Amino acid sequence: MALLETKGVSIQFGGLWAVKDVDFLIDAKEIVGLIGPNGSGKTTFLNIISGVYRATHGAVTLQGEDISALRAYSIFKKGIARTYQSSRLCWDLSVADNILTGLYSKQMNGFWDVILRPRRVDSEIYDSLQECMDILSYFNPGLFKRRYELAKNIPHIDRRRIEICRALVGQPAVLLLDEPTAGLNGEETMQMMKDIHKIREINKDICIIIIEHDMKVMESVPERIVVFNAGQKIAEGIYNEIVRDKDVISAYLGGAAI
Amino acid sequence: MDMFWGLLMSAILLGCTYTLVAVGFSLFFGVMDVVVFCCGDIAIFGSFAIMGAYVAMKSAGLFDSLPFVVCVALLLVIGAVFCAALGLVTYRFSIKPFQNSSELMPLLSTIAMGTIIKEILGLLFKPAVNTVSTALGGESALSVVSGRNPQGFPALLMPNGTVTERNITIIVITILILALLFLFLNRTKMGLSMQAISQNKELSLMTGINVSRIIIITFLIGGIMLAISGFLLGSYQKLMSFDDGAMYGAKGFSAAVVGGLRNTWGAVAGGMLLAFVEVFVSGYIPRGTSYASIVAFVVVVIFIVFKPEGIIGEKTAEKV
Repeated sequence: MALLETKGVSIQFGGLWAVKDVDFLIDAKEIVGLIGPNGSGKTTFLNIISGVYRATHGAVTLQGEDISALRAYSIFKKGIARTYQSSRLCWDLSVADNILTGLYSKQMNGFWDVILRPRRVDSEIYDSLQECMDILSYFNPGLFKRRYELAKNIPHIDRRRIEICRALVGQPAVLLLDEPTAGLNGEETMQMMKDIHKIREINKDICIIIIEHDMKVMESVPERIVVFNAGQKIAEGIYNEIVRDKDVISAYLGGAAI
Repeated sequence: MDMFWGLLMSAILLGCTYTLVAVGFSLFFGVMDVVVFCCGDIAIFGSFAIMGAYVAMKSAGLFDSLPFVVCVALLLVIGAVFCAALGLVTYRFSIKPFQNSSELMPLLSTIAMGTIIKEILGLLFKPAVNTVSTALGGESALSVVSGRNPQGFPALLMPNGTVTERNITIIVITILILALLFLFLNRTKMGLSMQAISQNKELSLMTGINVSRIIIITFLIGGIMLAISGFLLGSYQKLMSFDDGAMYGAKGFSAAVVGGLRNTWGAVAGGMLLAFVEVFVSGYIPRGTSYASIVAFVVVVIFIVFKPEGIIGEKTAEKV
């Protein structure tokens, strides 16, 4: 049984099928890349998996359980974490606090604990923070040193890292990365590629779905690539097969190029 | 010097009443990004609900059979239930339907909601005093008008104490409520989720926060807080008019804007500033009472021009 599977997933916005009949599966410990021209439905597909949108047809299952009808917050609790194309951080919180938000749903203390057992609440927050800092110091020691700085004062690439750490800290089974290298220069992209490999050192069983336009990243990071065009899956395979696939070339360069 | 202390006391007292309405504004705005213009009317609805329940309890003889404190607590609970329910009704019918449309829509629809609340109060309250109108003929028409007359708020807070004692109680209760709200917003998971939603709704959803549940809870808590403000307003003013909500709404909203709309402590600072200007202008400038509100709103305008982010709010620059 695949860890995450979609069967005939489609979504319609008005008259447009943004994603149509996509069958997809991914196993634990796998990294899969999604590519396709702009507007081909890659991000929409991630939005369906993570519960931001609800599919018009089809089903998404995680470890055999149908999660298509669940809301985004419960899908996160089931173990699917994600990052966005543009940074989604709380700018007025420190790096450490931003990562700590990833542990929100794991914290158990309620209103009465705050009033009656403040020490217990403090120790829970302290333990969670420790967990966050363990991940951050391993993931990026340089950023660890800046952990008390406000997120708004942190450079772009590090904001990306904060988001990845925040997603990782809850120990998800599936991690969805939406263009993690968007807006980064060549050297930073190389650094980010190394970081993505590091994710698996932190969480060995995690499976990652990554959307990316940079073919260098696609060549070295994912083990398998799925190509989208006009909302449909048009090809699937390893990098070397994909770059020679006629449909893929025609989708990227236009039919006349063949 | 005695006059100064007297004015100081009234300023703090008036500031407390503005503050509680202003905190309601900033609570709703923080979480929903929507100005809920009927906050003042919800508070006044609370005080009218308490008045109505008081009459009912009095006629049922509950005040004779139960201890006074228990009765007051019961009245507060009734007011809180009514206002919380009204908060939910406001959310369900004048905010939720317009969530995906222009930001101006909920602004207008909450003004409409405020008008509905106000007129319902005016229609429902027909005090016994006005049966005099039967002598003039048309009872029904006149008694509708009579519901629009000021209503006496029962002395529930320190009924046997002096005015000063009652005023100090109002201030103490306000501080207590603000402290509880502070604890709730900054220490509990739910309060922190409210702050998270106010900063970034999508992120909140992706970190496992049930956003729609938190929004509903915000309206419940906001409603309860406004009920307590209504109770304190009644105890402070002694006479309540059905349309007081518009005035408290305008003052509370101005206080929240002057303080920095998103910031709860800004609302406190704004409320106090407005009240201090009003009270000291009335006190020290000859015939100042007529100018008090004018000066207060001039201060609001000055703040909007020179410090649009509010007393405590932070400057934000948007990259284009």
